[in-house]
Amino acid sequence: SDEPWELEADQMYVDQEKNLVEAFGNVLMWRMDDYVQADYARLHTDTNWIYLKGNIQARFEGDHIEGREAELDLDNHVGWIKEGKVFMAQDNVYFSGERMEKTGPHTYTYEDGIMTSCDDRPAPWSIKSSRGEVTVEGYARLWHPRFRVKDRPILYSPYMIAPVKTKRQSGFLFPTFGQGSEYGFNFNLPYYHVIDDQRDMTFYANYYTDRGFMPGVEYRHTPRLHRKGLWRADWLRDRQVHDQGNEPSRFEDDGLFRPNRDRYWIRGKYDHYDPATDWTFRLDVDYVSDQNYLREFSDGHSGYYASRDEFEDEFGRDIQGKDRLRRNNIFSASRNWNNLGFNTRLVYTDNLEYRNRNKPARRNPTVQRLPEVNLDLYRTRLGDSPFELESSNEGVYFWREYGTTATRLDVHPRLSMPIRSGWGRIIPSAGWRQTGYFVDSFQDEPVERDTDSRFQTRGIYDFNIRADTELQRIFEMGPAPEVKWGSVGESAWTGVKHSMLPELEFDYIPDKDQDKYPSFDSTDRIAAREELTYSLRNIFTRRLERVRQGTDEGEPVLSKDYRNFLRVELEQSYDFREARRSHSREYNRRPFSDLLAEISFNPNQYITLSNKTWYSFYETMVTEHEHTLTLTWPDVASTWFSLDFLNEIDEYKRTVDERINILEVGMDLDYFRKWRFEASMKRDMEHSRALENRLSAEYRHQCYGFMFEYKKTDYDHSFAFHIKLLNLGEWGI
Amino acid sequence: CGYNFAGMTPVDMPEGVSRLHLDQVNNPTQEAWLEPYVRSNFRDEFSRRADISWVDREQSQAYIEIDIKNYRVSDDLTGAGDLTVRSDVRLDLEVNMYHSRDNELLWSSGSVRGSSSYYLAQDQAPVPGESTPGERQAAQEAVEEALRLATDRLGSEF
Amino acid sequence: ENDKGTEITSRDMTFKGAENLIVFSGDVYVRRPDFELWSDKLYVYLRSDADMDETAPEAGEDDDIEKIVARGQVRIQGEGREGRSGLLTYYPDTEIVELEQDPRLIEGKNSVEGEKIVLNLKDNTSRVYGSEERRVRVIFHSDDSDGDGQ
Repeated sequence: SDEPWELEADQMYVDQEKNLVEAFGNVLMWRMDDYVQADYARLHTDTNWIYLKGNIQARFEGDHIEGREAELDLDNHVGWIKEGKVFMAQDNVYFSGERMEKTGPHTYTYEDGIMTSCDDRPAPWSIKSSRGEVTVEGYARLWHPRFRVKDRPILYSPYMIAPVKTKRQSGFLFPTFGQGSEYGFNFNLPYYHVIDDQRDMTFYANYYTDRGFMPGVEYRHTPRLHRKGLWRADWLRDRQVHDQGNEPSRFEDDGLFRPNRDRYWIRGKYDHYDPATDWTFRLDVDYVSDQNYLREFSDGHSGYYASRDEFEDEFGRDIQGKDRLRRNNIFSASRNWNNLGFNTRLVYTDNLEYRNRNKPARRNPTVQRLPEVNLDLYRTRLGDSPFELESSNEGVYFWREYGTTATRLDVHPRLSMPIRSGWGRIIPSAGWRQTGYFVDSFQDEPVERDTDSRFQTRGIYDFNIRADTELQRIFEMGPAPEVKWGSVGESAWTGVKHSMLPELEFDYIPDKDQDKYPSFDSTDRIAAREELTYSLRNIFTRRLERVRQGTDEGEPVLSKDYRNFLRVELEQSYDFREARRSHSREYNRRPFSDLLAEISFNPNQYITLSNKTWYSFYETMVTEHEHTLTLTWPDVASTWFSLDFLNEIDEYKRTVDERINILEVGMDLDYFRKWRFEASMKRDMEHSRALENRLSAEYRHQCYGFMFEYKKTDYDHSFAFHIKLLNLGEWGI
Repeated sequence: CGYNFAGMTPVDMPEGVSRLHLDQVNNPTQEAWLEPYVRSNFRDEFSRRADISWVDREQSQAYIEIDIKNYRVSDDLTGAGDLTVRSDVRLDLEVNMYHSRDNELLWSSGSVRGSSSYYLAQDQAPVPGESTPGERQAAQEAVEEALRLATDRLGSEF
Repeated sequence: ENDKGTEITSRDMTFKGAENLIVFSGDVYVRRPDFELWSDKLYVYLRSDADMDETAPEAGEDDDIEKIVARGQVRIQGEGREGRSGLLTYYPDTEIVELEQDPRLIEGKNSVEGEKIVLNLKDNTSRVYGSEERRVRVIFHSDDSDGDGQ
């Protein structure tokens, strides 16, 4: 840049011939944020090289440098430092070495140097290596690193790479240890290899004493801003085989066995947005060897939860639950034109029931959507008319190993006419769904199917009318706190607004016999509906007025803050079809649905309550209930209670034959400095047995931390221990 | 009894904008049904609170971007043997309104979360072509709840 | 004038024989082969034993001048460098120039300031002294091509 350097000293000697300026005593040279301090400096004004000696302190592009002797090229920001110490503030990492070279912005090499992120000395941990190189991508390559605890070497490795940048969380890799009744003792040593600043790989040597060696690899690449990929694969040659009759109890009752020794899980996600053409491509891969793998290996860094959480953080979408037997692999391409949406997908659903000699693969009826094409007209207004049109249209070719294969076209335009007035709104809408089936081949269809005509079509209309309004009232409360210097920070609720939103919705779909049509997914069986749903939503908003410091030391001022602190919703529906159903001895008519009462209450940062309860007037009992209460004492502790309940019921429209009643209680404690304790207990109240007890203790020092976790479930118990080093990435779950 | 119709005194929109355009929905998921569903529901939901009309981008005074931050289907309530008993769908989104001329952020709902759940026991028998129909209905309920919560934050000042 | 000669012009000049001193004042301009000098006033001190010829405005041989003192907005220019100060003293024998009272030495975009600057015209070096209140300060430009940080 063209900013000048300024050099100050007690005394100077300038030699014009030799283009030399020598500065003696308290030498200080600075330009904008960079500065250099030393006892003596010799500046070559032609080459802009500066030699420094004695108590050198410098700051270059955010890096703090110390040393006994140094030479720096002010033009190219390179040079060397003897007995140098570098502190990269941005990443909170220290390097020191006999002789260090500054090879460019934020890049250094050093001989016989030490690297650590600990502020205190002796450093709780540090890595001494014969040679080290900090790269521009923010990685440290270390030759013959010795990991030291309080300067005592305890681990050696010929070569190692550690990410210095804190952004990359996968980070520095410390082995984790664990023990579990289902797999014995576990030791997982990852090795992190960076390819360049866009790509890196991590290799996992994961070993279970009872199961064997499970190598794994993770590959991450972000070639462009809008392109990102994350792939993982783990493989185990399992010592145990859970075949006929020797499956652990929790896998017994799914009617499937696990005879295979080769166990693997390949999963990955790739997003690619092309700004030039505005197309977005997404790929999800989730291919597992058998139905027990994800449930057996769900914890630890090679486990299910680690991948699920990493996918969700990086891509905004997660993967299916760990005990789902149908796992989707999807490739999609999509693009929008102002109010048209185009999305084409290839969906391969791997059905685990037909793997490993369980059900015969030849008779696998699982439907594949190869391809599925969606062309949707987003809801738009028709000219100046009050009508709005939207239409979701889908074409799919259904293929499967065993069963009917066909192409289905489904067109579903929908016309609506929202009418607004001060008193509220009415939105009538009507739709027509026309579905056409072009069948390739019929196979394994029940008698009621029409298996003669290869082309079949079905048309169903639907009608919906919705009316809602909103009534409001403001309840003024106490006065606002007095605005004076002494009262800065004081606050008070000064008003509550109650909004009441009654809503009526009538939904009608005619009854149509669709047994003769092929059946691939829920679009092929549109159930008749004739229901009136009435609901009342209540929102309570509080106004908090707080005395706040005026802007730039001005007079204190009153500021208003609003929060929807309470929501109470009631909803019920009346089913006219059920009311007209022909009377049957076994089930009498029950047109009224359960009453749903939903409450969410969050007045401040201390209390959060969310509660959903369904009540049946016919059975005069609660049929379903979800409830979570969280009490938080900021920076000290928080506890939460949640109860999930589903009652037995047997009526025409639904039957639940086994009651579910699960209580979860948990607490985490941050009170003790640097320590964090978490405890949680989950109990099946119905069969009064403990499902899962979990206890974890985490110690966090400034530059390292360790975590101990114990978990006991109704089928196993396990513990895990891992260490993490601050700034070299947190590792371990 | 002191209650008046909110429709009578519609919310005062930032900078009094009334002609809006629903510009973009950032959908990170592989759910093809999600964007049309969000767009259709958002139009009704947002116009419940504010006296606005939906127009093309050129005539609009302000445009809306709905950013779906994450979409989670793997939160399961598990019972014995860690087997899923109830599956939850959870969606976080944020609605942002920008000025059509200078793209200045006029209003933001902040991040809101919608969630719903379905008991596998109550789910219809899984149809061959779809993992669980219950999941789609729960996802739709989660979207509706999130959009409602976001809209409730419009014009909550009084 | 010979190659060593000094040409001095000013508005007026007074000669103080008793003190072996010539005083020039008013837009004083001195031209010498190795530098030019401007100042408000100029005092040329002659050696006491010099056989001073009052009429010749140019002083005699260099060895006749003991020292030259310039005061007031002093500006000296030579070999691409320029010095400025409130007070300047020049000793022809040793070709030493001393700049005091906010002395500043400017070369292109670079400049040096301090309490006192001593220039040695013979070997083209200079020495800058600071003091408690006024440290030596150099301003110079490094042409780091890649600018400051990416």
